[in-house]
Amino acid sequence: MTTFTKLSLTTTLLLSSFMMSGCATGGAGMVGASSNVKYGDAKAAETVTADFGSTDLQSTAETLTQSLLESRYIAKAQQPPKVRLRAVNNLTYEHIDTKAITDKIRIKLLKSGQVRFLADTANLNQVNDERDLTTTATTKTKMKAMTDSDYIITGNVRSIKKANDDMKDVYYNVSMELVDPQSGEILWADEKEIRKVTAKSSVGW
Amino acid sequence: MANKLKIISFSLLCALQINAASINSDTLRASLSKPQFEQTLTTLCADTSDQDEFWYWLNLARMQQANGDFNSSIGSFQKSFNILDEYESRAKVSLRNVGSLLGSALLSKGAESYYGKGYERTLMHTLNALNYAMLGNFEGASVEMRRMEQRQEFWLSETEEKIKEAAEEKAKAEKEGNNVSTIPSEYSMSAMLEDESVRKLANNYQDPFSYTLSSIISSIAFPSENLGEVSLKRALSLNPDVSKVFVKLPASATAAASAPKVTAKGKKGTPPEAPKSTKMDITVVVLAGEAPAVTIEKIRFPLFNGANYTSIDLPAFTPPINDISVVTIATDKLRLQPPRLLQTNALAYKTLKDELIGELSKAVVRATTKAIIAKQASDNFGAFGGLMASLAMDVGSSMADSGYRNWELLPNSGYLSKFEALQGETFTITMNDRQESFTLPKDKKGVLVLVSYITNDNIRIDHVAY
Repeated sequence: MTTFTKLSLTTTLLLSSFMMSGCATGGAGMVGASSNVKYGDAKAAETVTADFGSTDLQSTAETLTQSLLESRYIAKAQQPPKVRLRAVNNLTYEHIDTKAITDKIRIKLLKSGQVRFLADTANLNQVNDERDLTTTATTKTKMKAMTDSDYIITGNVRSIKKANDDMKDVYYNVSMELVDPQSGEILWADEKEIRKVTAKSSVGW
Repeated sequence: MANKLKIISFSLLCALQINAASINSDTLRASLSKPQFEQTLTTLCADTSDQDEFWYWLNLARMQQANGDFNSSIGSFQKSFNILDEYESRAKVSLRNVGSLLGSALLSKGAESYYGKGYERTLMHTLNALNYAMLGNFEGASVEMRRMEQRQEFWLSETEEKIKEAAEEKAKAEKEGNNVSTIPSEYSMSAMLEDESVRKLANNYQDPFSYTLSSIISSIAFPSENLGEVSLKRALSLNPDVSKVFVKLPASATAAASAPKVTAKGKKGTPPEAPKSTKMDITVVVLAGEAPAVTIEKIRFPLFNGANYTSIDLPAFTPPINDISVVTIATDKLRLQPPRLLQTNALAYKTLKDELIGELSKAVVRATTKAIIAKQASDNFGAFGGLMASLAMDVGSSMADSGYRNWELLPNSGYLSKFEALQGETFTITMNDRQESFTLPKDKKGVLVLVSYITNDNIRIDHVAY
């Protein structure tokens, strides 16, 4: 490290502590002091950026769950059908955690009491391991019951982005389908569309 | 009073920080061999003076990728994306952009902040896609490939604006009697810009390597959908050699592999627990060398009215380094020479060629401004004053220009091959005089192999099976 860099670092440390002492009324880590952390309304509309956010996640889960529960295959079923929720494909321009979408939908559907859920195919091995620990003999019928679902739910998230000198427009389409795994027939499908527009300011830094 | 003191102290702090240790372009590119690589990476990580620069994060991301640290590389790429996103979403009339434009038009090319050229903005997503792929996240990789295409839209509109600006600058310069259509004969890049590899390129931002890789990644991430078809068509239209990327195993090879074995007595025996198909898909990506590094070339010429002088400063490139000329892949049944689909040097020269008229117009305006100042100094303080003014401006602009850097560690070449091989087979990759071998797993559908050829003694091979 050169003398100049050392001098630079020393000056930085001294000046930083000097400046901090003048403006800090309470650090974020100080108990009881006023910090910048506040609790917000988890359901409030989030408009920090045009990216897929919490509001989009909530509204998507709400709309699609409601629509699915109203479909005759669920609403008029004699007993709650066994459903497996597959991963939702992310076909957008963002790294969206699509598992958050499926988790939210699963919770809402389970809470309704109108469907029963089977473990994800990805988690099936873990479930099997757990069974081996508790049950010494697993019959083929029991295994079949664990793997056979009445319906499969699949989905995609797509987006279209457009921009010009004045604005950016992002359109999201979250679609889901209820499929009969035996026949391959699509029994129900619905979508949630979201459009977000951000305008560029005329003059700025 | 206290506030004033704080402002002064803060300014001093900033001034000192600007001069904090950083690795210059030449040192960075000369410190990539195996014994130095780790130290260079550590020094670059610790360098805080350039962390608001787009190119800093890109250089770091490539080094981290070549070190097998894919998560850190994703983080560094994200930092560069954030810098570019902020630039792209600036106000229509941005004070920073105006300041930068005025500074580069009147004083020095180095007054501009570097936000990358079209090919760099494309390739940063392509390389980041490889990070996601190497972590087994092919869906994430396909997101990056889509972002790559999205990013090109802004570059196109930015380029359109630059063409308009260049036309205005050219008209202005010609009005003042300056010739901005002829490239100065002393300019070192003149011949390079007319090279056939540059003239053959369709544009300066799309490369067949990225589109072919995009198509392969889509087919791995979403095998049931034909999402990669459009990308592949684009790649083929950019370079017909793309068709050489995909090689199937001869039918006889697979038949031999799965055919019942003949025993010594001539009776057909059953192979022990033979799998239904022993074929697998192998994708080999070789990223080699380092792309040309941007420099500002000064063409100095004396002024007729005394000892003072001025200069035309134009962007130029140092040649690519540590590149390879041929890659050969050999299995028991195949011998392949993957095409060089990524030719970063040609893309860099093409960009320079496309922007040269605008750059020349700006350079002439800068040279004129400097000449006027030198003449005024000469008129007021004599020939020595003129010379001192010329020297001061020369040194000042040279200092500013030294901070004008591009993605110096961007791979210069990209080779791509997708072929079939038998599970458990060993294949070799030969790059120039270096040969590396790789044994395939036995229970997977495919393998993606990433070869990072940084220097002749610093090669890393990573793979991910799916």
